[in-house]
Amino acid sequence: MRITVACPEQHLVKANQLAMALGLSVADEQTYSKLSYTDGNDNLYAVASFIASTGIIDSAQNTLNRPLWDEEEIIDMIQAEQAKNLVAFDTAASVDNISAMINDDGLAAIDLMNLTIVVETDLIDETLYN
Amino acid sequence: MINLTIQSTIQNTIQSTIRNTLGSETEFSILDLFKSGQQGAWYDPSDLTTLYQDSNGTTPVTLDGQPVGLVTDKSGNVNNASQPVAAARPTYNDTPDRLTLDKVDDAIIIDIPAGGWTGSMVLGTVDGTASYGVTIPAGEYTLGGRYFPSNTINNLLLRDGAVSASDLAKVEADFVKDGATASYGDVTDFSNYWRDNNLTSFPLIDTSSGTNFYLAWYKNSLTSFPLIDTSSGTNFSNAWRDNSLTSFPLIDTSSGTNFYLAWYKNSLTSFPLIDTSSGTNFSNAWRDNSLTSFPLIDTSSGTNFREAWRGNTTLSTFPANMFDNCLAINFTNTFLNTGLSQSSIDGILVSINSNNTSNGVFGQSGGSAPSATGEAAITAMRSRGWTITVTGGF
Repeated sequence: MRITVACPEQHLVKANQLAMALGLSVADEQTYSKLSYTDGNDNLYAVASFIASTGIIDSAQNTLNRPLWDEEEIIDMIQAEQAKNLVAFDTAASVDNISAMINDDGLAAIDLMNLTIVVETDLIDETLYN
Repeated sequence: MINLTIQSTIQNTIQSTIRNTLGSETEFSILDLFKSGQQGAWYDPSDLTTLYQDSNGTTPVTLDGQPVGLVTDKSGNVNNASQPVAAARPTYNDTPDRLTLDKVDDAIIIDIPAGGWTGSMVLGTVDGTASYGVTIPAGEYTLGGRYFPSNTINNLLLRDGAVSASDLAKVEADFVKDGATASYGDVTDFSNYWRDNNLTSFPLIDTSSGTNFYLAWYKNSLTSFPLIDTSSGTNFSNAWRDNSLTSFPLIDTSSGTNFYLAWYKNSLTSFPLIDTSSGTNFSNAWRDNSLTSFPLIDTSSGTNFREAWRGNTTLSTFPANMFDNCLAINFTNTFLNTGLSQSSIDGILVSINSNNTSNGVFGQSGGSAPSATGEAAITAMRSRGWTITVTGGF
């Protein structure tokens, strides 16, 4: 099943620890990196959309275990656990939680979370008007 | 004996030439494009031996629905494409074989070697297949992400250096044979499609169903543009913004309503008499180009001309009567920093004044000040509440 996750700016670090704990390598620390979406209230979100195996769903619903690949204990498991406890399914995006939406269409899920893409800074020119 | 040797040599040469010629026509292989060590890459999801679930290439893709973390390059250059972040990996789907992108964060990344590539890209997708000219600098090059033409990569070829049109057509045909859709003729929404993709040339593809071209070619390096079918297009907002176009073809824009920033920041020195009869928003449309003159387009539906020709410092000749029958009152900074001749600015003011509209805004700087003819029009407009700024300060 496809899960689309919206992480508010203030929870990025924790969310990326969770992404590594459920993921496959240290590269997953970059899962939530671009604050490309907004809820219209000046709050920014990074969004990731992925096919989740039942194994990942099970892991996310139980106490997290350090993955086997993390022999050097890179992951902050306390923060990962905190992030897991912030996950709220099928809700609009909020700064109070990490919103997750199950939907086969990632872009539709983003719409359902009431997020819109931030107009890129290179598209904004103060001298340009509609 | 010597004659026989010469005859034999000639025969062999002729036979070899015929064989090579026939061979190249009947047995074209994409690998031929790399046989002399040319740089580039070829990603072919129809070949499962090139797909791995992880970016290290340890777990092969074997089934529909599995993530793709590594696509090995079939060109022989080992320019593999990978995605180390698990959540951003495309999905392999079969029938036809393809990488499916979620248009949120899925992408594969190529590390373009030193020197970069200037050549061609052939992209086969579920929406269509086409060849483009590209200039890609050294470093990471992302295929996918939020802005990408289609949500699949059925096949993709990048080749440094010149490739003949016939060879590109053969590559396209191969991609279509493997399941890519040939034509873009069914696509209606081209918004953001080719945006920011290092394109230097664009093919004559079928865009006849396209209605939305918002930001379609934004931020490429196009110097010219083909006569594509845009007859269904309504939204051309930002479409060709931030390219290097020096000329533009007479495309069909008869359905176009929104031309906001459409040709902003190019190098246009001339512009064709396109059909703008449905156009309402021309704000910033031709701003910051190198126009010297402009055709007498239809402005009858126009409501917003804010900064439309601003920054064309060489724009001296502008048609009289341009705004006859145009009820727009937003001409804010429309001719700021232009080089209008006195007859041109006079004609513009007289034309706008002829509509008897009230409470508008008009701005010009640079070029010539209006003559008494233009000043009379200004006086009449100001009496109806217009705010007018012109060169010379009248």
